[in-house]
Amino acid sequence: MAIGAFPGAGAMAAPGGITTRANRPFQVDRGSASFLGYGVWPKGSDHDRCGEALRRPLVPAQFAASRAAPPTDDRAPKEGGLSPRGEYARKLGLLTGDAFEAEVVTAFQQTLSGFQRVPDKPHGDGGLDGISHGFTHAYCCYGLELQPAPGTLTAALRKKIVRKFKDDLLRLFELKRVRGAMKDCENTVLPKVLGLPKITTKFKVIRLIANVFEDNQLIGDLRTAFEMFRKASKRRFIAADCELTIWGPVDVANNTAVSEQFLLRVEHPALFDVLRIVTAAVDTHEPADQDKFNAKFDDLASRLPLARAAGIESLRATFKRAWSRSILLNERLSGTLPNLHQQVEGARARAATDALIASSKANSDPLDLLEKSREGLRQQLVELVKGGLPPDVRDDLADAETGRLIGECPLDWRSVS
Amino acid sequence: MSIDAVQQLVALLREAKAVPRLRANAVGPSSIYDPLYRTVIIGLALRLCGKKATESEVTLAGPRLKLFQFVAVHRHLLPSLRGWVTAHETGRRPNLEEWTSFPRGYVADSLYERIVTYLVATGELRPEGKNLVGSLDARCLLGRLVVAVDANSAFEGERSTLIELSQTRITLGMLGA
Repeated sequence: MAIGAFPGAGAMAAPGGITTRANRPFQVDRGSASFLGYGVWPKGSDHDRCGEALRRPLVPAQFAASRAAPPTDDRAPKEGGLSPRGEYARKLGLLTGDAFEAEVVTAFQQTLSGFQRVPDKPHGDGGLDGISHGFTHAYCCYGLELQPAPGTLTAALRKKIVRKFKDDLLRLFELKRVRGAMKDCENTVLPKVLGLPKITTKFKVIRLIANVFEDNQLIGDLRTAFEMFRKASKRRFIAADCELTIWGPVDVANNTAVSEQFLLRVEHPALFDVLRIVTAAVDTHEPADQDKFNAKFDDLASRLPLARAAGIESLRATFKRAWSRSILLNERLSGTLPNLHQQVEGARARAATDALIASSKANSDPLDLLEKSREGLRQQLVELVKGGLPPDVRDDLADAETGRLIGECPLDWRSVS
Repeated sequence: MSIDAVQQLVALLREAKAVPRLRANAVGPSSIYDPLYRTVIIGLALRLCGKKATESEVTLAGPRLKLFQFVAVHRHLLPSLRGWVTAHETGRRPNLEEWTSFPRGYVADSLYERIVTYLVATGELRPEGKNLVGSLDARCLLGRLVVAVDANSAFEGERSTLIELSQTRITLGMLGA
């Protein structure tokens, strides 16, 4: 590191945005930035300085290691002997709370075309997290938050899970306990979810899904409660022959279409949150200072016949959207996953340099520069997250960064005055 | 962006006989990962948020310094931080979303760790318990950088963020330290 005067100090100040060396501020979205974190601390984080709350792993290591045995699967093992399904089950079992519920729901959404997520607003979810099979299968999830021993003893875990699922079942059966007896208790949310009274479909299967399912006594405990509730209930939402099944992470893995993206989601939940937030925000985002960007496309339009105008405008919109996506991605990544963002920044610089070198070679077509830049970005981004980026996510990032090259100053085609 | 968008643009450029150029020096990594820039921010954080330790030295708790310098270079996080602090002040324990919405990035900021290690190794900073003590004397690196920033009126945004942070009550307990 050079010591002394720092380069471009004056130029770096960019009020309203993150300062950059070339005075190219990221546009900063001052709207609500809600990063849904899933409690997976990146390697190398400074636990010493972060204190007890941050130092405490969400899952006690000793306990976590013993959980979620790999399911049987005939697909080829990924590495270390675990198949992709086994790896997914293991990682899924490490998620807790809302993160576990969100992942299970997403996994089913990507597997069952008719899977319906049940949001918990405005007045709760009525005991349901999802519905499928023409509203006849109900899903309740529970990502048990794990505490240090003795809370991690098998019996203690089972009791917690039974307590949670009994509460869900009581709501589905419209019951409440009063001094040991069962009393009717109307569920005001479910009729709105199910479309009652016009639609009277009843649940034929109730699936309870927990992040911990190793103790077979859990089945008996919940089945006992289920039968007791069934007898006491008027069963407004539940069919007389309704079945109860209890699933753990292994069952979810074995019954969903596990893909690379599934694995990446559970390994890097924060990255997927960033991508999701950016996708939602890109439609309303406008990059700051679009003068140079517009000047490039105006220049192109002035050189071509009027018949090309529509095509140029379409490209202008496409690249502006990609540029917006890049700005938002960089903002979110830098604030949420700075180490990954640093890698993306490095990948972008290397790709640009490679493209420049390739296009500078004799007999090379200068017009190859654009495609070489994008290809270079794709190749560089392959290395991110230990090579775990699915091709569509990688290409999405590469396209966004290509848009940034055009949106900002580095790539130009206007005549040099 | 469809895979054809780049090809369509290339076709139009070819038709217009336009030649694309790339300024490689403009594609460098953002300065937020520039060690010297971050050293400057650490110096500014010490000066604007630290307390006087001796005649020529200032001190600031390590967890606070790490948080403050991160927010100074990611100013879009300031509203989230304000919300988090307000929640603590009103006695309402922030829920999981609010809690993790802010500190994840700051916890993972490994560049800060490397720079502090360097500054401690070179004697610019000295750990004292949970605190980091440094001199802003003009003979020291941090002091020279801070003086240069003042002379150039640079980093106004970062400085105003740090001033706001210095007036925000963030205890070590809130940071879990």
